[in-house]
Amino acid sequence: MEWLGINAGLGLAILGAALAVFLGGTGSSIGVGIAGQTSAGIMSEDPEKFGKLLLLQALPGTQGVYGLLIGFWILIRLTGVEVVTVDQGWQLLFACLPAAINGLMSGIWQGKVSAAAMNIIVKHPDASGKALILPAMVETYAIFGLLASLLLTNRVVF
Amino acid sequence: MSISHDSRYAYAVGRIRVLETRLLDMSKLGRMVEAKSADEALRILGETEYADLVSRAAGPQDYAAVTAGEITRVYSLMKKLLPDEALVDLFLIKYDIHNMKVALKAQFQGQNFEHLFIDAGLVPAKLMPYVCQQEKLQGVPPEYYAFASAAALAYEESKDPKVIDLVLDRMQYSHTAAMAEKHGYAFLARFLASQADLANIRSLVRTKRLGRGRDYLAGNLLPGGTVPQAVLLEALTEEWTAIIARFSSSPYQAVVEQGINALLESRGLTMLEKLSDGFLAELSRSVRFQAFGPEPVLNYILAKENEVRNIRIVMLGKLNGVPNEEIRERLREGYA
Repeated sequence: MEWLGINAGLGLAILGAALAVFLGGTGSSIGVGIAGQTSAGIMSEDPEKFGKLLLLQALPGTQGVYGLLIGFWILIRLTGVEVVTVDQGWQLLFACLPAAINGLMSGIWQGKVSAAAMNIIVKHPDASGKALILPAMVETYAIFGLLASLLLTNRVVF
Repeated sequence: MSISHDSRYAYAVGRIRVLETRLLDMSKLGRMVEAKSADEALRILGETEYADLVSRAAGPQDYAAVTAGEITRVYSLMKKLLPDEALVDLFLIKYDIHNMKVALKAQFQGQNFEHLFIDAGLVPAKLMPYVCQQEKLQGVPPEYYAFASAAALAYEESKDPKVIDLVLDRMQYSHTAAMAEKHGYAFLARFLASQADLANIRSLVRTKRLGRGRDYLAGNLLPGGTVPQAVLLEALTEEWTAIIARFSSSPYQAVVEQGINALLESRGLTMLEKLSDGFLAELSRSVRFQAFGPEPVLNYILAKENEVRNIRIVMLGKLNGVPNEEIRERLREGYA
């Protein structure tokens, strides 16, 4: 890996951190975007529903936060490390992927389920608790991704 | 990993969900039917989404302006909500065709039928006479000129104004279906096919009841249905029971069976008409819970058209002193 320069390991680790932030954030922004359009539609007719819709719209935003968390975690782990070998760099890059890819996909789908759940709230305002459960299910898999990435990055030894 | 383009409708669907809760349900319509007078029925209508239009109406005899105002309001609201106006345009074709019929008949009979125009179409109603005279105007779909000349030609041959209706009805169906296909509205295409099928079944039953021949039926059949025209023409010479049996494995089984039985019990064609409207309502209702895509919007527009139709039935009945029971029987079930 000479051609990548002597600091290729550090570069790979940063790429991992960047991917977690970038893909998680993309998933969330698409998800929050879809849910936001639906809640804008509902609120333009019925502004009173704001409180109930807010949580549903915010829910797909967590994937971006998880990605950011992994990004920061990599930075913290790298503080004080003199040289990151290419091996360690690859390891960190791969360790970031669960949070990154899970975040992208679950963010989009959670946004869709949130938007669908908002339709329940309009028809049955009393069922808002139940409606919240549905997109929360998708959250499980974003959390699994975060967990896997955290455990994996911790296993990398310097 | 593609983001389905159906999420383009996310805003519209959210808004539709709220609007759906404001549709007139059967209990509200029931109250209008039970009202002591047409004035009271209109007052009840004024408690709903129609408040604004009702307050501007001079009295119950003005109900047509109220319903026309509401349906135009809905179309223009939908145009603002939707990412593609083409979807709403599909619903407006029928008004253009209506206006074209009026304009052509006026032209051939040398009379002024302007009061029959419904100004809700794509082309302003007052321009329709010019379209019929093949004057090229901006914003007029090019197909319209072909429709007008085909209808005019058919009239020249037969000198029967009814032919204009028949020719233009066929054009309207095939044009709307072609546009739905072109823009990829799969559900609407299916809905239109069922609508054509049911209209054809009604034509079959009516033709047989009148004792008219194949040619009469063939002239009345609409294109675009799933039931082949040959099957319908063949059924014309069969017994009623054989016709019912013929449709026994089709989706229209219940409509045909109950509709024909009602006819045989000498209760007329109303039941068949009501059942076929009910079939379409059911078909439309089946997709209304989709969270994305144009289907909920379609269902809402259809529901609104149905609601306006019901209001007209109630107001017309009330103004003419039709017994409540009879009005109730004519009401169509809702789409929501």
